[in-house]
Amino acid sequence: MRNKVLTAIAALVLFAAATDRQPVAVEFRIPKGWPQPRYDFANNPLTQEGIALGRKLFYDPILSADSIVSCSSCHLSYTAFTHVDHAVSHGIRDRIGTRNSPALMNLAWGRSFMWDGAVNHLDMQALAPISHPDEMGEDFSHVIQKLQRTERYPELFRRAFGDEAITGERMLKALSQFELTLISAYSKYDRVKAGAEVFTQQEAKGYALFLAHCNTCHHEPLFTTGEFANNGLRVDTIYNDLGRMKVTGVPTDSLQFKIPTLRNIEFSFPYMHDGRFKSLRHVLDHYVEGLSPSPTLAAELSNSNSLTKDDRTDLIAFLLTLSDRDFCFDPEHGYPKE
Amino acid sequence: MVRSVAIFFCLLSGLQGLPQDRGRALRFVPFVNAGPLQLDEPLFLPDGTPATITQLRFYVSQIRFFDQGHIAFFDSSCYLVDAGEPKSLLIQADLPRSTHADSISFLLGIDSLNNVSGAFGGDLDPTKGMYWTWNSGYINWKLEGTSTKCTTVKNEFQFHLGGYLPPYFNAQQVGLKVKDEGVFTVEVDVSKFFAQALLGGRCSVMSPGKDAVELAKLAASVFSIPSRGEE
Repeated sequence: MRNKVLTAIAALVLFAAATDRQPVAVEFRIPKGWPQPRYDFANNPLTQEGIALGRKLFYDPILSADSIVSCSSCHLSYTAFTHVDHAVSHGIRDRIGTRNSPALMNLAWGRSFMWDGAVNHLDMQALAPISHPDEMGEDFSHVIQKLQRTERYPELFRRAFGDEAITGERMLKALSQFELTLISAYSKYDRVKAGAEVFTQQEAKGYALFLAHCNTCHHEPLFTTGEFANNGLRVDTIYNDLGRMKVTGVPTDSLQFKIPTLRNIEFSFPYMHDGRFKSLRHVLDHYVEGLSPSPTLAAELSNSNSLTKDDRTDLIAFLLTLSDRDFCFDPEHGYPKE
Repeated sequence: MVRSVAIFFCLLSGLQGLPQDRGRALRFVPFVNAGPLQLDEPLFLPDGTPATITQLRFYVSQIRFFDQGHIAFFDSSCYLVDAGEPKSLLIQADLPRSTHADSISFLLGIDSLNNVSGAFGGDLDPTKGMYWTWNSGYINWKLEGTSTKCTTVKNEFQFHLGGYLPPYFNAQQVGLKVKDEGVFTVEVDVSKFFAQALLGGRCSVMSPGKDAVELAKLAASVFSIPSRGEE
């Protein structure tokens, strides 16, 4: 009898400990040699429970109007969180969007989000695809109501934020927490930089060409400056997408799009904001032979370059060293098992 | 530090309903055609056109009370005032009744900092429908309804005014002389807004820009202190 009572007390204590447990803080590690992240973690400190909640939300189609499309539908972990082999993505009821889904990584360093920088903060990014009629087609406050009605989520919000209140702010911050953990910094390029590996002769040649021709805009180690540029793409006659100008209303921003990172570029085909190029070879051919003249063309591209066919092959060999398989197959990034 | 304090206060902005006898307060009274605004009720615009107002919501932030040019009170919170939510029309100021004030000011809208600092709760929670999803930024002023003046679908007019990027910064300062009373009643006469907003068939402005700034100035001009006797 006494044993039973003790067991019961122990169970109660354990239960109390489990339910009153504070979220476990997670340290955000900056890869060696990288700049300080722009995300302000003081307003949204990473915790194991917050990240786990964000991950569950990321993979949950409850966020969409038809409960079929989740964030991961267009941002698949195995392909660096992009919609591989889709020029533009499709959302609810197979509606087709107008832009190529960006690969998600190293978002803590992001200055703005979306191809045109329309979103100014990672926390607010998810509102765009959730609300867009061609993507998830939902009303954000309705998403929150749906989450509140579930059996599971109030408890997950309690674990992450201390009580069961499910608010827009908490939902967005949890999603940010998961997305902030998507750090790709372990490619062959990174191992070479750390002195643990060496480039092949061809990769080294490609790297030298990269530094001479690409590094101004695709600046290492993030392989983007986070700025916008017109990289000489002909205006697409279907979407007639003018990019950044739609956000700022400033004519000099016409045809400017976000400079994407080149990390994991092997997996993120097809390329450009509208996915018009199927391969890296097509991309490089564009930069050598296909630039469309325009008043807003990036100054860096105004002088035609002389990359030979062999140069382009070497450059591609280097770009493939930016693939980070550990990132793509990290079990912490995939569909949460529960 | 200043930033985190501002953010902290904005987080508190959802906590309304302080005891009413605490002291000073701002009370917004939406008017149309010299009568109280009734949402969804038929009315006439200043030029006689039939219309209905279905929604009037706006942000009020950076509330200041002045006494002979000196700031007697400052509240950095952000409040969502909703003509359809009577509770939201009264903003309590946590200061003693004895505090003297001869003028007040507030920002009609949300400042730049709060527009670029991520997700907030309370009145600033994006679930309130006052945040643009496709182009980051708060909607400072939202006025919706129908009028036969509008040739849009269902004769709807929609004014969603916002934008924090120069040159189209949208939030407007409003300054008003007040009589020193316990509750400062501020009338919001939307007739004044309609007198100009719908000119030339302009029935929807829903993105930052020149039109939105022009209309925000117009919106800022509809606030006044009643000259007639107190309630």
